[in-house]
Amino acid sequence: MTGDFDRLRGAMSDLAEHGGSPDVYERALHTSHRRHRRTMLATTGGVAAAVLVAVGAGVALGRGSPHAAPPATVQPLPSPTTSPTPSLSRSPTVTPSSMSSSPSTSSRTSRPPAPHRSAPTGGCTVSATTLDHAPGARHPVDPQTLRCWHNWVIAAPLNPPGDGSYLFRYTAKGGWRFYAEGSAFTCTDLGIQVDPKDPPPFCG
Amino acid sequence: MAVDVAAASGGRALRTDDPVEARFCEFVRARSWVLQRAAFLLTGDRYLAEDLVQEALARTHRSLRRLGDEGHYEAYARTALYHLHVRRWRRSRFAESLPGELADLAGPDSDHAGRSDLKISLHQALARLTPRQRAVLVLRFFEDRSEAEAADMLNCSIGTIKSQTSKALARLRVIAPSLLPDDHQEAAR
Repeated sequence: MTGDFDRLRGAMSDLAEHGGSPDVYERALHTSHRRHRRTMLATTGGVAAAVLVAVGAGVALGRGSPHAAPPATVQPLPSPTTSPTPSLSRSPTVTPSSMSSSPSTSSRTSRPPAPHRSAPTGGCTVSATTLDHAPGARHPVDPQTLRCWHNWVIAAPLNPPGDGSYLFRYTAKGGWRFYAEGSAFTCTDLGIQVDPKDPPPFCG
Repeated sequence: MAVDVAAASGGRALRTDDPVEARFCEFVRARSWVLQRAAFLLTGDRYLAEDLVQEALARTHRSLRRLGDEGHYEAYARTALYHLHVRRWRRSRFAESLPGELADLAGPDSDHAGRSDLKISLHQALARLTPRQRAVLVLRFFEDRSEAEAADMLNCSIGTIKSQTSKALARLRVIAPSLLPDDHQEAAR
């Protein structure tokens, strides 16, 4: 088909001569560098904005808590033992006590890291907020009342509807779960064999 | 090793230590006029054509490290040129300029009055085609590209190239019949 269009071809070739032959090297170079700078600025600005948003979100979450806790620090995992006591990645630094002498070994971190309402007491490496979000939890617990023993935690509710405390248990499969409510627990009913050297604080 | 490059810009000499930059400068100096000719056919305006070539070369410059071989520079720049042309057309804010200066170039005492008439007719006719039709005509009849090459260049199917060519020629036959073979001659072939 294109062999029949000599006039069109010739006219195109003649017309193209009017395009001239300008110098575009420096202009092209200038445009290229300008685009490069723009790209770099956009990239840098995007990263800076992302960092600001992340920092701002962290500050906003920290201020949103009614009992603002000191900045959480990541607690290094101690040497492994057979005890399945949980360790949450954002638990604040606590003072060791005899109650939590067994170190945490589990690396369960899949639960969303909620802001801590307060630093837990009693050497617990779990926060009250985590317990509040545990499946089966009924009322918010008082962070000042947390007492840990291996993979168990007992805590009193913040606005107690009765005189009972809440017992939570940690399993590797299900994480922290509400286990029972009561004013006194029997270890044999809980399946705990009591060691006189390390008695659970919640068994009568 | 420093390389002296005589840039086409006013005879000034650019000095670069980067051999890739030096090769690109040589390429621009040697081949930008080819791109400029195609760009002029696409845009119908010398200044718009310069802008188009400049943009295509800037893109090529930014991809120099990826292109590697110097032989790829022109293919890349040419593809960028056509893509930019079609993309500009898609932007609604882009206003195309209509040709006007070419009539001054065809003097009445020209030895090639017939060819000048054809040039003027073509210049005006191209401005009345869509940018894609214009691009197809330039690729097929100026650059002598095959349908497959044109489709590859414009990033569309061969069927699109065929249909766009057919529509463009049909339009040319109406607005500039002198550019095309006569109907009876075509029928006789």
